Amino acid sequence: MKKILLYAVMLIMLASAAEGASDTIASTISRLVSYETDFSALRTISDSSVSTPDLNFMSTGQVDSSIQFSSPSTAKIEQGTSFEGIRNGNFGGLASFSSSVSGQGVTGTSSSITGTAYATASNPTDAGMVQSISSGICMADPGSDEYEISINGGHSTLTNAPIQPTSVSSGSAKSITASVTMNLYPLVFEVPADNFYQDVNLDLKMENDNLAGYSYDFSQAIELADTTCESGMNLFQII
Amino acid sequence: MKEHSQPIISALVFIIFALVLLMLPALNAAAEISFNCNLYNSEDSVSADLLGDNLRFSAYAELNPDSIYYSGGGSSTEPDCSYSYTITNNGKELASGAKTNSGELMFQSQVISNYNGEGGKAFDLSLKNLVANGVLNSHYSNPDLSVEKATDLNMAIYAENARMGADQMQSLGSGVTLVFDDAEAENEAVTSGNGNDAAENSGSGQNSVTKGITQTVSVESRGRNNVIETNLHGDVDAVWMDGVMAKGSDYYLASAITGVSRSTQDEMEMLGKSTGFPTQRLPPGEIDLSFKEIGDEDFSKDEIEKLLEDFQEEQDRFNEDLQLNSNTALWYYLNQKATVNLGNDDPTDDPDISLAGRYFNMHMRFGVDG
Repeated sequence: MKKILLYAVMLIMLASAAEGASDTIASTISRLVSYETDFSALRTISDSSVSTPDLNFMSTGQVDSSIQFSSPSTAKIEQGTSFEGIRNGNFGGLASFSSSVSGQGVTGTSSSITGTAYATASNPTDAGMVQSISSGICMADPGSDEYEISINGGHSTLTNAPIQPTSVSSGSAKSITASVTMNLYPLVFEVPADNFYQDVNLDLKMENDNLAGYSYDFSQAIELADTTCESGMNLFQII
Repeated sequence: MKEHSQPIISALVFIIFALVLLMLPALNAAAEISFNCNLYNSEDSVSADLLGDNLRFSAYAELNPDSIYYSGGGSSTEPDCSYSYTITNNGKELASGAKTNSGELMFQSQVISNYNGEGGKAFDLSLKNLVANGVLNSHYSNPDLSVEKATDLNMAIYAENARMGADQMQSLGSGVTLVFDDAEAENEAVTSGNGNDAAENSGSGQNSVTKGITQTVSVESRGRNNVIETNLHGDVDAVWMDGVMAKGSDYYLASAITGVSRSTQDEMEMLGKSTGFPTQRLPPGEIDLSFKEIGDEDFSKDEIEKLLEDFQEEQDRFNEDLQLNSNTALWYYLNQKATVNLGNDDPTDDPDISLAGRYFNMHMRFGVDG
């Protein structure tokens, strides 16, 4: 009886050892600074994917931000997208999107984020290869002749995935997709805000065969005449 | 001891107020009480006015030619109670008032001018209010600003206290939603005076009852108004705080709430309104979430590739979405691709969280440099 138990334990250990683990992180960040402008807009579009013998995960996203001024001023917009594909026992991934806008003499702002994540634990494109791809595009209307714009990104993949594809579900493996859109309420100032700062980060998480949840962090600060208003919210939706 | 005090006057005033002190509690049976007094000497003047309902009040005063001491305060005797109280010192006024249908009210004030001949002065008013499962409307003010609060609760309790002087004010309130067992919760939901019924998804345990927090905190100073409204209704649990701190005409007003919402139908909102500001809203925007199973063919799509195939289309969409009249000024494209060898690093497990719900916190703060 003891031998049977020992063999069972050994089999479980071997099964665990065969379990692959992969982790891919990628990011795209774009930044626009416009000088003496009355309008500035930036859009970042990203596309990232990882393919290992035991995981396919892909994320696409789009971040839009715009800011308007009463008189020519300096606008700063920074947008980021990041992506993490994970396979360690569970499989899934995290897609993150962010927007940060600031300026002086602001009369209006508008921001929106749309992110979509796809995951599947079956049918890898090439069972013998571990591949990650990350692409980013940004478009801008700086609204003036003087501006600085940059886009940069990076990614890394770490894996000890088995050479051959593995079945991760006891039943049939399936592909899932989740998408989240966050439209911030636009702000219109009758009296231009002396200083304005707004920052939002949105995360979408998938785990195994399901959407695990989403979360966001929001913070905003406005100075207008002798009054300042600071507000913020964190929300974590677990499904 | 004061060498030039007039013991006869002092004693007389003391006796009069001692009588008032003794008589007012006896007026409880009549439910309504009122009180008014005016004291003055060659240096200072003090007056107090009170109108109350279901209130116990007592006051003590000592008047001398070169000093005044006044102390007065009250507390509620029934859950349904109200008061309005004003105390004035040399033309400067401190005021407080409150009304509730399910709570307790208390206030205390004092005016001291050269008492004991030591030249010291004091002029302050403090208050404490509490409401459980009901409505509380309160207000208080000094010469620089006035605060008004309206709190309407279902399955929640809230307490506030404030202390103010002629040129400063500190106010702090905090509340929490209540948790009952099933039987109590159903009973509370049925008997609640706020018109809220039990949640439709009753039977899901201790959180099956609709809870509600509706609160407005408003500060008015020099003709300008700052308001923070907090609304939370549904299958929720939360704790929240609000505060006002003022020195002279500089002040800030702040509110914060943290909790969990278990249904997407729950109302959860914080609004900030200030002269010249667009309405500040939390949550800051609308979320649209979708989830579905897909076929493999959908998974393989490449958004960037599609986008590059039709540059003009995406450019037009950018211009149209942002209502631009000019063409897109810039394009930047970044693409990275990596193929890596299999590694042997051990991963670390992320903790699993399995309690469904929206866990949130919201905070808002208005600051004014007067």
